[in-house]
Parts: sequence; C-alpha cells; structure tokens
Amino acid sequence: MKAFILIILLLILYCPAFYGQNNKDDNNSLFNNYSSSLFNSKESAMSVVSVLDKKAVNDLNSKIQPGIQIQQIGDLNKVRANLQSNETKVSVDQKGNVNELLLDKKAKTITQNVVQQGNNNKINDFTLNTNYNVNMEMIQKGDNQNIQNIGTNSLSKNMKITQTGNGASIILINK
Amino acid sequence: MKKVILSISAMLFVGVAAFAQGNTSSVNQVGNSDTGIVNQNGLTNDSKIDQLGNDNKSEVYQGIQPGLYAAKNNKADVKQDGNNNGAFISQSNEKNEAYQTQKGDLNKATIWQDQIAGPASALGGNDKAWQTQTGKSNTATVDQGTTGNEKPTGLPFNATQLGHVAAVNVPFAPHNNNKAWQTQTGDNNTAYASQGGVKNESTQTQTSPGGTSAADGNKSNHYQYGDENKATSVQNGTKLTENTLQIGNKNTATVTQTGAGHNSIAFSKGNLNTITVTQSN
Repeated sequence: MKAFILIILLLILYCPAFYGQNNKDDNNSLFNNYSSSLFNSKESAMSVVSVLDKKAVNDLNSKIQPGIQIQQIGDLNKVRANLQSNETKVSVDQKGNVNELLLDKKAKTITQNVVQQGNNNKINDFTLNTNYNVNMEMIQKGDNQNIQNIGTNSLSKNMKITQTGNGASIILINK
Repeated sequence: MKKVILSISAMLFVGVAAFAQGNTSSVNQVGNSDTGIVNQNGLTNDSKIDQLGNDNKSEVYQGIQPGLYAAKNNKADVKQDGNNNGAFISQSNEKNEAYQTQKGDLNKATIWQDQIAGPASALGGNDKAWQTQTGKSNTATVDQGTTGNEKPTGLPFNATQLGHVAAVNVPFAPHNNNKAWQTQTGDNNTAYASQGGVKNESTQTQTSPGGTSAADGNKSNHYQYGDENKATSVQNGTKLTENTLQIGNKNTATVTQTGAGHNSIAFSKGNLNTITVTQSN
C-alpha cells in the first residue's frame, strides 16, 4: 500500500514537469520571430548585405586591385601598411586632424594616391627599392602638415606632392 | 510515514525544477536532406546536433527576450559533415556559447547572438561564437548585436561609405564583450562578422588546405559599430579580399595577407581608430 501511494505521488509530481516543458513550447509564440522562413529570408538579406551573391562577387572580383584602399574620417586616426608584392596600388584618404599614415612598400610597380585633409597630419612613406616603376601622388590640405618620404632615385620620377596651408614641412631622401 | 513520503516527494520536485533550468538535447542524424530544430528556454541549456550527409539543415534557438526569460549560459554545438548543409544558431541574452563545425563544400554556418530587448532589460553580452569550416565555397556568418546583419547595403562600401552606414543606430542595445572566431580552410570561402556594441572582438582566419600551395579566392568581411572593437583578419593564398568597416571610436583593424593578388579595403569613421595592413608574397 505504501509503495502504491509512493508510485502515485511520483506520477503526479512528474506530470507537471512534463506539462511544463510542453507549455513552454505551446506558449512560446515569441519563437515565431525566429521561424525558418525568417531565417531563410535573412539569409537572402545577408547575401545582399555581405556581398555574397555570385553576381556581386564577380563584379567585385573584376574590380579587385592588388593593394589597399583605406578611408578614415575623424581625428587621431592611424594607418599603418607594410606592403610587399610585385604590384601594389595604394589609396589612402584621411579626413580630420592629427592623423598619421605610415607606408612601407616593397614592390616592382607602385601606384599610390594619398590625400590628407585637416590639420597636423603626418605621412611617413618608405619605398626602399631601386629602379622600379613608381607613380605616386600625395596631397595634404590644411595647416601644420608633415611628409617624410624616403626612397630611391626612381621614386621621384613620377612623384607629385601638393601641400596647401600654413606650417607645412616635407623631407625627401633619395638614396 | 506520511512525512517521509512528503519529504521524498518534495526532493524529487526540486530535482525536476532544476532540470527545467538546464535542458539538454542531443540530435544525431545520418542521411541526406535531414532537418534538426531545437528550441530551449531558461538557464544553462545545452544542445548538440550532429548531422552526417548532404543537404541537411539544423536550427538551434536558445533564449528569447531578456525581460521575459533570463536565459544565459547556454551552449549550442553543431557538427555537420557533408555538402550543401546549413547550420543556424540563435542565442539571446548573455554569456552564451555557439560552436559550428562543418566539413565539406557549399556549406553555410550562421550564428546570431543578439540582445532582443532594449537597455532596460537587456543583460549585456559576453557571448562567444566559434565557426570552423573545412572545404570550399563555404560561408560563415556571425552576428553579435546587430540583429541579423541588416547593414550595410552595397558593394565594398562608398557612396560616401554608404552614408556612414546610414548613421548606424543598429539596435545593438548595451551589447558588449562579445567574441567571434571564424576559421576556414580551403578555397573560395567567405567569412562575415557583424558586431555592434563595445569591446567586441572578431577574428577571421582563412588558410590553405593541407597539401595545396594556397587557398584561392577567400573573402573576409568585418563590420563593427561602436567603440573599442577589434577586427583581425589573417589570410593566406591567392586572390584574397578583405573588407573592414568600423564606425565608432578607438577601434582597431589588423589585416595580414600572405600570397599573391591580395586586396584590403578598410573604412573607419570616428576618432582614435587604427588600421594596420600587412601584405606579403
């Protein structure tokens, strides 16, 4: 009799637990927010967002240039790039104050375009190989800008440097 | 005697209640075109799904709005071996862990770890996500605090970097200290990480498969909104692409590309941001 009572009690006690699990599923309407259909639609959305669809990827691949394309907007930002390649194309655009750019390049063909707009910005540019095809342009607009460029004789063949503003300084060293 | 029976009954009831807070689930499926879906609420839940075959699909949902369920410390682990499989894990609240491991080609792995409620009841973050894919043409996606990666919308940015990504305001709530690791071995793989909040970290590693000289055509994407976030990309191979977008202050992006034909596109908006790129043959 005691055993019978114990079994009955156990059965009664377990039932709410099972119902509790079921209730969570039954009442869990908020999980509808994560339905499979939504998941699938988000997958589509993400393929657009993250440029993963084939056409976009193909378009992107056709435009890919070896090198870097960097833009920074704001103050006290830094870019450091150490580039070693047969061919590299560098495009850096910094807008703001007290920004820094450090470039260290080793490549047979270099195409470089750097623009800094603001005040107290700085470019340190190293190209330490000789007789390579180098084409570069650096533009600084603002006050107290600074450029240090260290490279080879070939470096200066197609170099354009434009500084507009007050207190600008430039150091060019060709070895 | 009745007291003894009541005492025993009370102890059993507590035990059942504890199980309700720590649900465990293990799903094993062998075959093709299988689907495994797991929903869990509460604390310290654990879900494991193993699928062997092709065209399989798994979905794990742990926790919903923080104000309704204090779901945290959940763990989901999905392993898929085969081709054209899909794995999706959604975890809300905080201190959750998600693991996805896929072997094969044309697989997709997606992890969402978001705060679904606003700052008043959202609990923070501290979520961690791991994705490992071996094979080719795979896609790994992590969203932490950006509610399904709804930004940005366009090719590697511009149109003045997509209107500074439409002035942000991604509902990342107080999301913070999330970490994501995505590791891909093979060719033509894509990794995508989107994080919103503070002090989040994302690391993407794409390397050559064993026995070949280089991984070809891998793509790494980092989109981060907020402050003091870190994005790290390490790529090894040919025709590599890396895209980083950071909006906020004190963010850091570090890119290392080894091989031929590597390209890095980076944009940061804010102050005290640092971008470091190293490219070598």
